[in-house]
Amino acid sequence: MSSLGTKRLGKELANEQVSKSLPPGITLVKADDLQEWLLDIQVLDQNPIYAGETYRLKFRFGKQYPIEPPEVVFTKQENRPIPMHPHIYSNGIICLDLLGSSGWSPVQNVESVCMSIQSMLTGNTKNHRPEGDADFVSTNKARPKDIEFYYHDNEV
Amino acid sequence: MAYEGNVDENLICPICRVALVAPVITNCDHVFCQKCLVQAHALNPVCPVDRQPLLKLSSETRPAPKVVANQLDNLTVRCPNRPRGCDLVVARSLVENHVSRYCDKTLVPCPHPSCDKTIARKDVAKGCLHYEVDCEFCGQPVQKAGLETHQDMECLNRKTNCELCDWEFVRSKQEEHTKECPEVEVTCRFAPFGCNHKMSRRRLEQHCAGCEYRVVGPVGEQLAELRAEMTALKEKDRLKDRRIKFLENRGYSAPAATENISNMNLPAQETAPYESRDQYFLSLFETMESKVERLSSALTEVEGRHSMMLFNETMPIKDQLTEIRSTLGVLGMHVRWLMNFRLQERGRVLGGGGGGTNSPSLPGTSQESSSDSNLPRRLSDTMREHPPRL
Repeated sequence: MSSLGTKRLGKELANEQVSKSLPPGITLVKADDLQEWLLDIQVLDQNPIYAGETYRLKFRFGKQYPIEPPEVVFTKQENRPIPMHPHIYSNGIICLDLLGSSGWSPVQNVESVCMSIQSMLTGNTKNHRPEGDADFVSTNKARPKDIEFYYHDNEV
Repeated sequence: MAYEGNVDENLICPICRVALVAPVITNCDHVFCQKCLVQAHALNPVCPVDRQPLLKLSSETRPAPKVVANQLDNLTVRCPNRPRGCDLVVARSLVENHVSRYCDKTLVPCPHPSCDKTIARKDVAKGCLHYEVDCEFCGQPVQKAGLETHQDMECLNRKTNCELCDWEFVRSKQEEHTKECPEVEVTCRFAPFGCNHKMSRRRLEQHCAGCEYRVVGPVGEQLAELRAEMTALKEKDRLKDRRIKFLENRGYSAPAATENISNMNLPAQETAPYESRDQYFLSLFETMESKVERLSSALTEVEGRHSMMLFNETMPIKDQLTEIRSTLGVLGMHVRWLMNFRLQERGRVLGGGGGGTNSPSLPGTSQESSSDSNLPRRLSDTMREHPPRL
């Protein structure tokens, strides 16, 4: 990783660990190195689709972070399902413009990405997967970053 | 670069999150480090903050205003040679000059022509120091160039003076000294009983003699002792209980056993009270059962108490409710009577003569009686006539 990336991530980590500045509903689970972090995320309001559940996000930081976006997916574990959302595939891949190269901005950070995802869940009312989920999940081999999403749906 | 103190949030680059270096400002008024913006721009030609298009950096950005640059120059930083012993803190604009020209801890190439190592600037005059010598305190081989730092910072056998009491000791004995140093801060001896005082060990004796908690202290100690004794006794008691129950059970379930055998068995019981596991579990089960019984009876009692309490609480509320209801009825009656009265009066005024200038003494009525034709608007009209005073 470039020195810019290591410094920035180190700063973010120190910020989050020392001052515990993460917003409510988001907790840092594991950040042993500056390549992969795990965070737990909860939807705090009473949205019936997500009430009482905790989801686990995996961040992978490339060499170019923060110039390039991190790779952010939900991972499935015991007690950590993949949330139902028309933009989240059942393998955990998230279709969100700010995680793609064109929507990303180096001003974003781990905290702001988590908050975006949290609000994306909070505002959702549709309890189903994206169209063609089964096809996508069975055929996709590409890294989330390289998938060409078509950001058409601005309702959710 | 380590900054001394906190840097103002406004002077931090939103991309690298440290104080700006060579700041540039975009046409949309956002400031970044020049390097950061170039990198971000190569990926996506928009402003990282508000995503306004930035087609050509050279034409759409310019160096940040002087006032920003000056503030950045005034930030104080630590000399990067701090790990090698330079404690200087200096304005950021001057640190480069300091390191490259003046700081005698800066590493420079060794003056010896065949040596390719580096050496601190202050030692240049001493020639090549890249050979090993033994440390005179600990005997370990150390490079001559690093001997001084080794002795100052690392060597465990080097004597040092305690910062607090000036006592001289070997560095490896640091921990032992801390335990007895008269100047080290320790808590009062009576801290477990509530004394919050903290002071140097030397003054502690004096404090303990007058500590408010010294009276409580011995009592507390005795209390703790008694408590420990009590738990031990309780434990013993429980054991005895169990044994008694077991014996009772035995006598009950095996009355047919001959006296001879029971006599034979009795002394053995003292060492091993329960010969068979089943019996042990049976007794355990019995105690459990009695406990459950006790708990359930307590539960019903609590339930009863709760319902009584609830009843007691709601009774007065119900009373008050009926009272309020009756008051409401009376009020309604009053209102109806007043309305009737008003209607009759208006009928009389209208019949008397349309203008109604000499209306009754109530302040609102003059308005109402003059504009009685549009009844629904009366409220807003009165509002306009008498605006609520804030």
